[in-house]
Amino acid sequence: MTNSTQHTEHFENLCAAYVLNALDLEEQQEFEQLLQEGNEEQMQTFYELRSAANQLAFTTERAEPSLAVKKQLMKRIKADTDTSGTAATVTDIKESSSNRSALAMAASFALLLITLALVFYAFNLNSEINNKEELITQREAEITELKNEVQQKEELLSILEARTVDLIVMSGLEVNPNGYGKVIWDPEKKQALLQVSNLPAVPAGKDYQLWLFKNNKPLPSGVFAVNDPSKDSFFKIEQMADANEQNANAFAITLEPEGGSPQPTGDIYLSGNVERDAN
Amino acid sequence: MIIFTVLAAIGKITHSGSEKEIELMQKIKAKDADALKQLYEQYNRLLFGMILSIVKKRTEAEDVLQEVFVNVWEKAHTFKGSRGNVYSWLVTLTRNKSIDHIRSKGYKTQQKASVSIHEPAFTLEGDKFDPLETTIHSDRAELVKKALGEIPESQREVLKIAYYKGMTQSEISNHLEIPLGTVKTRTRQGMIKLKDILESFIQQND
Repeated sequence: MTNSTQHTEHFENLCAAYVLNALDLEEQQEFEQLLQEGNEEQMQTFYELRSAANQLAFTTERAEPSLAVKKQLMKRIKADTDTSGTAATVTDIKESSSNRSALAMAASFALLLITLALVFYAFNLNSEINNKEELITQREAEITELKNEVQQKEELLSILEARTVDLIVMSGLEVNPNGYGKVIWDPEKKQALLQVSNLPAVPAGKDYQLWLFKNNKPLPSGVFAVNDPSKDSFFKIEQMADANEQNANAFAITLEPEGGSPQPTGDIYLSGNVERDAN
Repeated sequence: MIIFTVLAAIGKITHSGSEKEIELMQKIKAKDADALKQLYEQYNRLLFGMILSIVKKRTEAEDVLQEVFVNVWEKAHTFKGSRGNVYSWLVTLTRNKSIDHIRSKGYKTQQKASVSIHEPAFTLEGDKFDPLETTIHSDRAELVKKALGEIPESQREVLKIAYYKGMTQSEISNHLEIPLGTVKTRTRQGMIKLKDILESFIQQND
């Protein structure tokens, strides 16, 4: 027997057993190695023997597996299809993703509408807030004004509450005949409340100045300005010159350079005599 | 030989559907579950019979059958139409799975050695099957059985034990109490004889 014949016989021995799954593991690996390096003739032998062995399957009686096998199999396949990213599932994914994107678009549109509504609502709210803030500022200004007014009134009242006060009524003179005013004077506390009406607004660089004539000598008693002639103006005067109704003669208001003068220099706008107590 | 010619002609008709099966495999490769279902419908009885003849226990055989088709699903891309048809690929896969099962440790510990050299005596359930499928199957079975009958008894015995019992040659040697070399020679001679008888009638790679 030649080497070649022996070799062929060895190959056929292994091949015949291999196609019947009758080789031990070691020989099976040996044959698979041989097959990888096999020539055309050996491959042909392998295919022919395998075909013959496969025919033996027909000699076994067919048998019906239970329906559960098919059910279970398809369930496993479906699970695999659901989790794998294969071509067939791509269609499903595409379909479902297109469903999802349609849903997402609807959701986006809804979200957009909600956002626009919210923006519109916020804009209105903001506008309303601005209006309210404006109103509040306006009201606050009014409150401040009223508070000032109340304070002035309280101050007026506090002066009026004094045990003894003098009321000096002042009238307009030639330069401003419609003007009038009052001085409520508390000589003890050296305080006075001045009210003036119909005095023209002070020109730039000028101020009105109140004078207390004591023993016929004018004493500067405060500087003020009138900005709105249509309204009555009230001024509280403190730290007035030390005087009393015995030595005080009159009160007068002149227009003086801004900040006042030590002596009256300008026109007299209002004046009134201090009435001496009859007693 | 006349009977072989007639039966072989029927056998060839059986596999005229090979192209359709290859198409099915292409679909399975593309993960078409319906295609797998069709392939299962076509082959489950034949393959289950095969598995049952080796594994014996019905529930285990069903597990193996399921594993075979899961494998078909997962390994469809390894099927090469040019190197064998679907039948051959499926039968090889099923044989391998069945043999792997009975050679697994778990199976060996529970299996009591009871060896019969005859084909498993399963009830023929032909009535339950599609009549055409039954006819084709029976005809092909007849052809192969006749071919086996042509082989000398000593060789046929080894082939049957190997095929139906899933024994390795070493196991057959022990079982028959004959030298391993004799088993190898009988296997080779028997298989070549079988091939020679069948090859003129059956398409290669069937």
